[in-house]
Formats: sequence, structure tokens, C-alpha cells
Amino acid sequence: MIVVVGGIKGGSGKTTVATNLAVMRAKGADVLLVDADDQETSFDFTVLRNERTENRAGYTCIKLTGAGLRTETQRLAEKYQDIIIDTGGRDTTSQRAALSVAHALLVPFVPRSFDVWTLEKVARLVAEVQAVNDRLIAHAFINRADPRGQDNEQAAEVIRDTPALSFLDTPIGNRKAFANAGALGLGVAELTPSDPKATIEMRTLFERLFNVAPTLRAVGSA
Amino acid sequence: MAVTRKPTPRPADAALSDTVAAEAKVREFIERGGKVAGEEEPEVARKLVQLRLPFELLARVDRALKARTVPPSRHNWFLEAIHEKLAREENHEARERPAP
Repeated sequence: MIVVVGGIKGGSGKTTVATNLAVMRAKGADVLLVDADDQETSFDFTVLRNERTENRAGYTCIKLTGAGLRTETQRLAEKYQDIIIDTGGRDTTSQRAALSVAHALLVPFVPRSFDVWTLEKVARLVAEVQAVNDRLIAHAFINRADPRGQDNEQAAEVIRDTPALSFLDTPIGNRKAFANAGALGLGVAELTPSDPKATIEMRTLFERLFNVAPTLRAVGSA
Repeated sequence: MAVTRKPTPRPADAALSDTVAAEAKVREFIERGGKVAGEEEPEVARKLVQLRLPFELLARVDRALKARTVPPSRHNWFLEAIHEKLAREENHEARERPAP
């Protein structure tokens, strides 16, 4: 499966999600992580991960940008079981090229007005993609969710009202564990001491996206 | 035999032509995205031209845009229109030109 972690708003946690999905998926599949963002953070994360694990990141990461991403991804899709593409937070030729060959688009939304206001543009982009790639399914979920308050549910409601996007009710909280794990080149599930809530949230999103059987149970409310 | 019937396209030719058309659509879709760092900008020099249009004409353009499944920007619509007219007139001129 080719998954694009995208959207048109910066700071929504795309790279954190893409790298964690790659780490989790690599436990059972041959995974390619494509860094299509100018900031190249996924690539840097993987360099660090390889340094700390004696080149046992578990997956391959490459940098690819621009319109050529389409043909390269098509070619590489024959060699890998799954390709996860981390795009930047803009509507670029890179993101469009990735979407033109993808099976799934995963859009993280921070429960804030400025982020939710981009929904309409994301929906328009999805409609455009589906005119050239009718197999693409677009999913959205709440990322960096608040620990309490109404904002998560209000943002979820707006996303549910957007027919172009299928809403995944698998919120991920705004937890320090993600930053701590990233700084060490680890997925959040690999962090010691562990953060069970962060692990379960990421695992649940992963299972829903890749349609794999649940392996963990909730350990209490977020 | 000097005269043969017009060849009928084989299914494979039609499929290839469909693929080429589909790829052109995909390229057009990708090019609508913003450039990324390091991507080559076209080297064509461009001149900014002001266009004064009656409101009603502009409203007709906007209606035509809205009627499209995937509406291009106004700017791209104007470019399409210019290219279409140029192609029409250039073809017409070529037909009218006396044979050498």
C-alpha cells in the first residue's frame, strides 16, 4: 500500500506520524519511507535511528521531491510492500505527484480553527486527485489532541461534515513522549520508560490504517 | 494493391492512446502544485499584462470555471483560452496560405 501523510497545514505532526507508522509497519513488512518534505526531517530521523541501532532502522528512507516522485514511486512500489510518503505542509508538485499514485492519504488535523479552516482546500485537493487516481481514499484524524475540553470533538464534527474525507476516530494526544522518542531516533512504542497511552493511540491509528488486527487494549482514558 | 482501407485502431492502440491521455491529465494535475526547493522553474521570461474586463464578461468566465469538474484558476483559464485561440488562428492561416 502507498500511503501519503499529507495536508496543506504545517505543524500538524505529519513527520511524527509518518516516521512512527514506518517504524511500526517495518516490524512485519518491507517498508520504504519517502521524505518528500524540503525540511527532510524524516530522513534526518532515519539517519539518527540508523546511527543508534547499527543500521537496523528496519526500513529504507529516501529523499524524493518534485513531479518525478510519481514515476520513482511507481517503480519502487514493485520492490516494497508498503511505501509511506511524508510530504510538507503545502500543496506542492511533490504532494500531488505522491497522491497521483497513492492508495491512501492520511491528514492529521490539530484541533484548532486555523487548521480546521484548511479542510475545504484539502477536500478540493482530494477531489482533484480522485479525478486522476480513483483508488485513493482520504482519511483524516485528530492529532495533537487536547487532554480535555471541547475542541477535539468540535474539530472532529467539522471533519465528519466533510464528505471527501473519511474520519478516523483514532485521536493522538499532544504528548511529550512523541518528541522524546523522535529525539532518540525511536518510535513512540520503543521509548523507555514507555508512555502506554501514546503507544496505544499510535498503534490504534496504525491498525485502522493498515487494517491489521488490534494487538493492544486501552489502559484508561487519555 | 495501391489503395487500402483506412486501418481500424486495434484495441491495444486505443488502450495506449487512453494511457497517454490519462498520463497527460496526471501531469497537468501535478503541475498545479507549488514548486518545491530545487525544482527547476521554467526559464521563459514573462511579462505582466493588465486585463480590463466588463463585470458581466468576468462573471461569464467565472460561471464557465464553476461548470468544470475540477476548476482551474482564472489565470490558467485565460491561458487556456489564449492558447486555444492562437492554435485556431495559426491553423486557419496555414490552411489559407497558398501552396509553394
